[in-house]
Amino acid sequence: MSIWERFDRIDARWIYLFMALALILPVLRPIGMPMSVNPQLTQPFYDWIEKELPPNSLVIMDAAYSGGSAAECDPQMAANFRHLMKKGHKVVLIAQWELGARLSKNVVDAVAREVGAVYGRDYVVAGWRAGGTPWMRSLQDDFWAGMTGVDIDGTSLGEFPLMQRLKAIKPDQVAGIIIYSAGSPGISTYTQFFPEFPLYVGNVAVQVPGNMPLLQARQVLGMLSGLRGAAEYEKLIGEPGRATKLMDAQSVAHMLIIILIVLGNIGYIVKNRQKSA
Amino acid sequence: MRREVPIFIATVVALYAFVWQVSHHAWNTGWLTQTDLWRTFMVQVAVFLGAINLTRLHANNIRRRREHWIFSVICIVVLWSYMALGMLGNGLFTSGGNNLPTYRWIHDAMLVPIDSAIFSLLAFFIASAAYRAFRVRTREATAMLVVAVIIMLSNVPVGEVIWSKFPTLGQWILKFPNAAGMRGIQIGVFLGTFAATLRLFLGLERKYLGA
Amino acid sequence: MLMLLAAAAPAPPKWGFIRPVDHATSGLFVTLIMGFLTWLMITRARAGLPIPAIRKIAGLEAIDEAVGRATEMGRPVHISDFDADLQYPSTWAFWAYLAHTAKLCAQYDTRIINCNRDYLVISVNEEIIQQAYLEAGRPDAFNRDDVRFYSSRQFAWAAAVCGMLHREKPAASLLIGFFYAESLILAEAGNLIGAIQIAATESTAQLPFFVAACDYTMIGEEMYAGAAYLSREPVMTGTVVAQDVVKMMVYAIFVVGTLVQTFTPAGGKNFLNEWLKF
Repeated sequence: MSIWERFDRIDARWIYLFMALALILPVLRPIGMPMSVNPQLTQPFYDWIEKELPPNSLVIMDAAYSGGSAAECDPQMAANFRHLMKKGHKVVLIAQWELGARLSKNVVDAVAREVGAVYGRDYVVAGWRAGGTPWMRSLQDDFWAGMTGVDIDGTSLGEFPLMQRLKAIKPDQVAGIIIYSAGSPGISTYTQFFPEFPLYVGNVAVQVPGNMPLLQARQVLGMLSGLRGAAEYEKLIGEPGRATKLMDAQSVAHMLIIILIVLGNIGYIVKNRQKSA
Repeated sequence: MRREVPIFIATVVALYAFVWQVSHHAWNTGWLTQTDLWRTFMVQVAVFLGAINLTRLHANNIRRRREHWIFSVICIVVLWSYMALGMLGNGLFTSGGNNLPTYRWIHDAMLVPIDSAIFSLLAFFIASAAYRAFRVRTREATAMLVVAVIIMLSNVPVGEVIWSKFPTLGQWILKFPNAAGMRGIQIGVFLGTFAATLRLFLGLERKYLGA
Repeated sequence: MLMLLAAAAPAPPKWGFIRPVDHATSGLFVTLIMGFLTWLMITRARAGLPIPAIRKIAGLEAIDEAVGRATEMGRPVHISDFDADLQYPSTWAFWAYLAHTAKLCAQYDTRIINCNRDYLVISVNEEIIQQAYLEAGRPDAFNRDDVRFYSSRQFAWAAAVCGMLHREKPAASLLIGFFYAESLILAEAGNLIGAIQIAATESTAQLPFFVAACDYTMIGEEMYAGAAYLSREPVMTGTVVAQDVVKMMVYAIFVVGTLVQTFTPAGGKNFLNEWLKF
């Protein structure tokens, strides 16, 4: 068997080893490749917060993700939250996924410490409640009842000045919704039950192709696509963070997959030619 | 009666779900909120019911010494101890137990990393699956291969370094051919789901009875 | 100032009671048309009148092959739906596949393994498999331990199923229903043990993974059509025909809408678009 034929069947364990190296080495020694901003996905998202939101707006953020997708969604949320706080807007966080509630609190608390945002005045983390879609829909008419009157840590919502502005998720109280979505329940909750609100999405990259029709139909107005979206947003707000650092690892891993596909095809073609010869 | 009663209950619940789903487009949704809060409450009770059911299931495993019964012991211990810590850690009938340092440590240092670790297996599996699947076997397979490579390169900075037009090309593929295909699938799925729901309404679907 | 106030004022409800949101009313009409057509086709089928036939689906034939192969090899068949829930139509479709596969396994005396993450769905699955063994005349061959609850958490469940695949090496793995990120983990694990893999899902994000890693993939609505097809009852297939008729209507609207939009002068209104927005 020639070396070219061997490429037709590379042992999966070698592939796993190369992939591990492709992901680890660039994190240890970043390359810093240049990156453009997507004009159809990321730019409208940034423009909305930067230019279109009226001053002192209240935005709902929804953490519909878990630990697995936190690598993509955490940096997106951190960048958006930082931008919103710097522009003087207010944020109330809810979570359609139970793990998302605590993860998102960790993310925004860390950013809040850096930008000097105050819990209860600038942002509140209301958290997750069991109940699925009926629970989410009930927030449309009575946010406090839906949240059983307390935030994620059990503190009464009445103690937070910000919550006096939010009695229900209605257009006169909420300027827009941002959801960080890794699956279901997720975006469809808002396209079905909250169609009056400007909806922006932080998506795990694998979901982006499936959600393009929503963007085309303007049911979603802007989208961050995985870690790349977060890195682009960090670039726009001029504060490179974790997403920017990890982009090189993504580049090298993608290149490795392309090289493997090319090698596999060389092996496949050589083998087929020898068979037919 | 063994069949009629479950079919009747299923039909009534399905009708309620249908009316509920359509009614959120009604102008005044105040009445829905009452049923929603009840449903939310019921789901919260169901979480507890689930915990009891799970315990029963694993207790059976332990009692009958089924294969891997030791994991059932671990499952029951973890389930109830974590729940007890969250509910009682701050004192009986007081809230805020989920903010205790130990509770949060288990969440942040165990639950989330384990979740992430299994998810990260995807990076390895996608490499081996792509290597195996993307072969120039047929014209269609070749088209899929070429599009996959363009999309991969358009999503990472290295693609721009190779050719500055990769992001634009990738975006065009996502926005037009991909969106058209996705729409086709989604419309089909909606209609398929709807037909399945109608079969349930009309009592034609009885698999849940073991039929 | 007055203009600003007018812009901020909420729009009046449509017909006095429907929320002033685009497509709310037209969506209701699609629902009613679909309901009517389904009723029509079912009535025709019940009266014994002819209804259009539906085509065979390649993945369905493969189920018989896969069970046959497992029987020859003396290895079990694995069938699971990750995101199973009593309220999901995909779970109802899964039950049709489970019943069919269980029946084949019972006839051929092959073990069937089903892994679950929902404590309510597991009891229905158990009932379906038990019934299949009963119908095949071998109730004693039904093994309750092969209908398993692993975990309600996504990746704990995925890890457990992968472990099972490696330990018990089923010759066929059927992944039918709704899946998320665990789809590829399961499909690759199945591939590593050399199982013949058949997938069916409506989850658009996971379809590419199944297409890449499985031998047969039923895409989106094929899963639902297959569920009705397996029953071999004209009444059930009638609902699939109704679904196809509505689909043709939707595509006709696409074509007309595109043509009207193309020939509408710049700044003009597309009447079809305006109607559907209602």
